Amino acid sequence: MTGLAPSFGGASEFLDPQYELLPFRFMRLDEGRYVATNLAGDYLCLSREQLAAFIEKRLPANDRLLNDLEARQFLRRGYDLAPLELLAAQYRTQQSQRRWFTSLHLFVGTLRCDHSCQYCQVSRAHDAAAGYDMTPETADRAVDLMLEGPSPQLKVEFQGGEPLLNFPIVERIVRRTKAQAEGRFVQFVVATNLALLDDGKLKFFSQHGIKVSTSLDGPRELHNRNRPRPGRDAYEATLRGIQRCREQLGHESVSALLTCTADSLRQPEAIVDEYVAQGFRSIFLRHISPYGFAARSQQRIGYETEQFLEFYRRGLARILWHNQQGYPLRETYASILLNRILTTAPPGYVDLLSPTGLGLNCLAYDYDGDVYASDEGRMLAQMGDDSFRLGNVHQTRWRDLFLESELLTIADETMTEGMPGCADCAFQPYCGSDPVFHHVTQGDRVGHRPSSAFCRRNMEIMRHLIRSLEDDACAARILRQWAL
Amino acid sequence: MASESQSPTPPEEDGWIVVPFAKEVYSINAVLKAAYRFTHRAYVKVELNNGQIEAHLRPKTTEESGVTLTRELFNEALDQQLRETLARETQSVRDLILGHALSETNLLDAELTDVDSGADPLGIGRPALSFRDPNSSQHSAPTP
Repeated sequence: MTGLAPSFGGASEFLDPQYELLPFRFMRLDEGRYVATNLAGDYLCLSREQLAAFIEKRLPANDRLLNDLEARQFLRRGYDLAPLELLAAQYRTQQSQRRWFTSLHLFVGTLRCDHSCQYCQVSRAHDAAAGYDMTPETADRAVDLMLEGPSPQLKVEFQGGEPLLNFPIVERIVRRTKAQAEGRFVQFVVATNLALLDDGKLKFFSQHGIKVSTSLDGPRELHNRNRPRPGRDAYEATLRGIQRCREQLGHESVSALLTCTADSLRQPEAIVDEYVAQGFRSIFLRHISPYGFAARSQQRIGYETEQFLEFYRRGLARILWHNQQGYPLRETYASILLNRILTTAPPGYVDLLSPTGLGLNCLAYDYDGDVYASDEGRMLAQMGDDSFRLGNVHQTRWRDLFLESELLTIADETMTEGMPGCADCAFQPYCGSDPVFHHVTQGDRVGHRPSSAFCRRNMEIMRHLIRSLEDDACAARILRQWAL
Repeated sequence: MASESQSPTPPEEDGWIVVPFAKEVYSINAVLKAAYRFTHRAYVKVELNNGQIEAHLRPKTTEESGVTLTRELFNEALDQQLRETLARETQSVRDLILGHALSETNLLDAELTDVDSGADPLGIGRPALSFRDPNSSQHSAPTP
């Protein structure tokens, strides 16, 4: 072989100069760039001129941009079926879990709680109050209802109140589920402040492979201010509980999340550092939700979306800095979004689904047997609005939760593929509609996207992540690992 | 694109700014979609006036600059018009891909719907073409 003939002009000579556009969405990323996403969510950044030239077919056949666009299925040449097959396969993969229907089931064994957190997203009852516990009959019926669903994978999560205050119900639900699940894969998670943890409960967690999710709002002073309890030792009690869980159940058995209050806004670095000091590998920089007690305390502990975004950007920068120093720490919300941006893995985060994850991915069983389309829907009912109540475990059949309620109407009218402001959005493949949030904040479950805090927050976080992937090689290397 | 002759009119006494769009360049749908994006910053109405599309904007706050709003609306209308071009060409293939993705049958190549996967009617599993055999057809095996 003596090499290629001098007349060989490159592979582009063999490319069909004609191409057909494949469906994609685009929008402005920043002053100089646009971001475009194909039908399966693969993205590409390009200038306005490149975008217009591509759509208007003014790009020369040997333009390298065309190769990039073809590789990401933004175009096809010569009626090739392969890009269509690939896009369809990716889209089908992303939607694959929807066929199995609801997989996340939240049980509220009690509304009682020993903490009195000012931002609490539920309407809790005093820890000695009567009439706020789930009865055994209600628990049994809730489990039976859950198991009428077809999902081969179930996640049973105990919320509250403080679940450990009615532990016999936790034990009952776990045992009944395991006895009747018939080969399904079931995960159990208890969301607890850990203050009431003891050896007996730990042993039960260990025997049944139960994971623990707790709250850690940051350094001692911030945590204790956000989460008051008698003795003012919530921070110490939580750390003791984390330690015991790790010793008995393994280091990764316990995760923590935080709620960002106005007090938190000033100290994202200190909060991240606290998570590192306590040996966590993930942190969820969560904004405050407009439900339950949080809504009533809004003036005192609330903040504007822009303030949260600044908090988020600073917090994320600190997390990346720790990674660069050799400590692996993920931000959970960024991981969820990066999974959407960089892979075709089926999404699971209820707020970011279209059709909505309400009911279709998640059901919440309240202590009194009422069934809600999500935990947020349950919180809303505690505020006197039962718009997202689907029925009651003692009166409603499984199919009627979906077919005799408003659920399918809600799912239909809030599909982002057809919603004003969402249908053209380049981030539509990564996002969702969150009807409960818009019902609460805008009085309309479809919502007005130009003024939606949900939209503003998610758009900015996604823009920030894509800019980081594109402009900061060091950050991109870390962020790409979070998507795996 | 809005030309010099289509510059927005100065604010009227009641604060409305009129932004004209040539209907030969923009569809009313593109202008409507563009205008919708500003409904959190301005009161908006879109109408046809003597065959010309007009977007009427009235800023919701005194801090909101009418000039800035107008410039941003022009850019957004351009993007929306580009999206219409894109949608015109891709709508049918979008429907086909989504239909194929969510269907139990093969919508892209109907001949393959009922075929046994072991039958390999397109010869995918057969050895590659032999360049030594000028007579080999696309799906035929190389000559021994």
